[in-house]
Amino acid sequence: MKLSSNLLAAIALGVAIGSLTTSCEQQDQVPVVHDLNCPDDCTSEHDGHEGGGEEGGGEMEWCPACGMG
Amino acid sequence: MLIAALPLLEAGSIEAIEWSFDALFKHQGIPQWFSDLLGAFASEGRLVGHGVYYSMFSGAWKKEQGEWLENLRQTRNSYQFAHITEHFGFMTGQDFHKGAPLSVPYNASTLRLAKDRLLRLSEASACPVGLENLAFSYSLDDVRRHGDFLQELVSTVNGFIILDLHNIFCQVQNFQVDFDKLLNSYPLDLVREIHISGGSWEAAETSPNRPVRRDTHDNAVPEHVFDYLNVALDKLPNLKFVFLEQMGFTLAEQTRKQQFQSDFTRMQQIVKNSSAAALHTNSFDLTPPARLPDPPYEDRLLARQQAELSSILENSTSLTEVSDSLRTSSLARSDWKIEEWEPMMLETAFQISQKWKDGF
Repeated sequence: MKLSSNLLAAIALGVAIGSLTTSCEQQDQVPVVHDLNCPDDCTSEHDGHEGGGEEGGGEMEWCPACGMG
Repeated sequence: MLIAALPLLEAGSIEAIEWSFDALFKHQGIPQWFSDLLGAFASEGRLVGHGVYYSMFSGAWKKEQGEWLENLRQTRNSYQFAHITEHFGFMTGQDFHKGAPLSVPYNASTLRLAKDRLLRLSEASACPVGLENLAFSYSLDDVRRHGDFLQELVSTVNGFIILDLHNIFCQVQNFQVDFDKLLNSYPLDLVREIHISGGSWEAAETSPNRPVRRDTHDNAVPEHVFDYLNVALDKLPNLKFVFLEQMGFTLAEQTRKQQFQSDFTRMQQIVKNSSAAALHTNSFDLTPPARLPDPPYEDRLLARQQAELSSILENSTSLTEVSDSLRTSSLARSDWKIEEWEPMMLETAFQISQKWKDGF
C-alpha cells in the first residue's frame, strides 16, 4: 500500500527522534527481563539494547506481541 | 521494528499491518505520526489488532479483563480494525500484565469459560474476532486435540483462526509429528490469517539429544516455515492476511534488518505466486447478543489450579522441585493430566514462566 510522502517523512522523523531520545535511563523506568540490559552505570546512547533501545518508536518497541512461547 | 520496515513502507510493499494494541494500554498516548500510520492502514481495511493480555482462559473473571475490554472499545473507536485476535491460553502471573501464556485442559468447563470470554471480546471489538493456534503444548494429546477445540470454541462467535506456521513448526519439532497431518487437524476453512516468524532452539536437561523449539520471534524465518507457507496457501479458502512477526529489539544490527526485509520479500513472493483462489465464503461477521451473560462465567477450581501451577513454576528453584510440587498439587490426577506431560515441555514451561514472571 502506498503511503503519502508526508506520512513517510513523519514516520522517518519519528523513529529517528525515538532513536535519539531512547536511553538507558529511560529504560530503567520500565522493567525488562532480557539478559542484555544495560549496566547500572550506563549513560550512553547505543545500539543493541533489548527491550526497546535503539529501535526508536519509544514505548512501541517494548511491545511483546507474541513471541513469549 | 519500524526502522527495519521503513524501506518496505517507502516501497509500498506492506499491504497490511498488525498492531498489538494492548501493549500500550499502560502507557499514556502515542505519537501523532504513529497514530497517522495506523489510521492510513485502518482507512483501507488493512489494520489488524492482535491482543496479548486478555488471558481468556483465566478461570476467574478479573477486573483487569473488564478494563482491557473497555480499553479495546476506546481503541476501536479511534481505529477501524479489519479484525481483532487474541491468544489461546492464560497468563501465569498474578499481575495481569506479567507472566507467561500457558495452555489449559480441553474440557467442557474450559470450553464454556472461553466461549464466555470470546463473546465479550466479540462485543467489545465490533468486528470479526479470532484466536491463534498454540506454540506450546504439554503433551502429544494436546497437540492432536488443539484444532478441534479451537473449532468448537470460535464457532460460538463465527470466529476464525490465525494459523501461526512457526507455532506449527514448534509442535512438529517438539512432538515429532507429521506436518501435513497436523495441518489437516485444524479447521482450515476457518483460517483467515497466517503468521510466520523465526524462533530459537533451547537446550533442555530432560532432552539432551533434542533441543526444544521455542516461539521467540528473535531470528530469521526457518526454511521449513517458508515451505509450510507454500503448502498451506493452497488449503485456506478464507485466508485474507499473511503477517511476518519479529521482535523489534532483535533488529538492531544492519544485517538483522536486511534479513527481516529479505524474509518479508520472500513471504510476499510466495503469496503472490500462489495459485490458490481466495473464495472468502465466510466474512466471519457476527451480530453479538443484546445482552452478555451476567455475571461472567467462572471456574473456581480451574482458577485455583492455575494459581497453584503459576506459583510452582514461578517460585521453584529447580525442575525437580517443580515436578515434586506438581505431584502433590491439586493438578495431580485431574483433567490437567500432568502425569502425561512431556518432561521437556514441563522444563520449557518452567523456563518461560521464570522469563516472564516480572513482565515485559
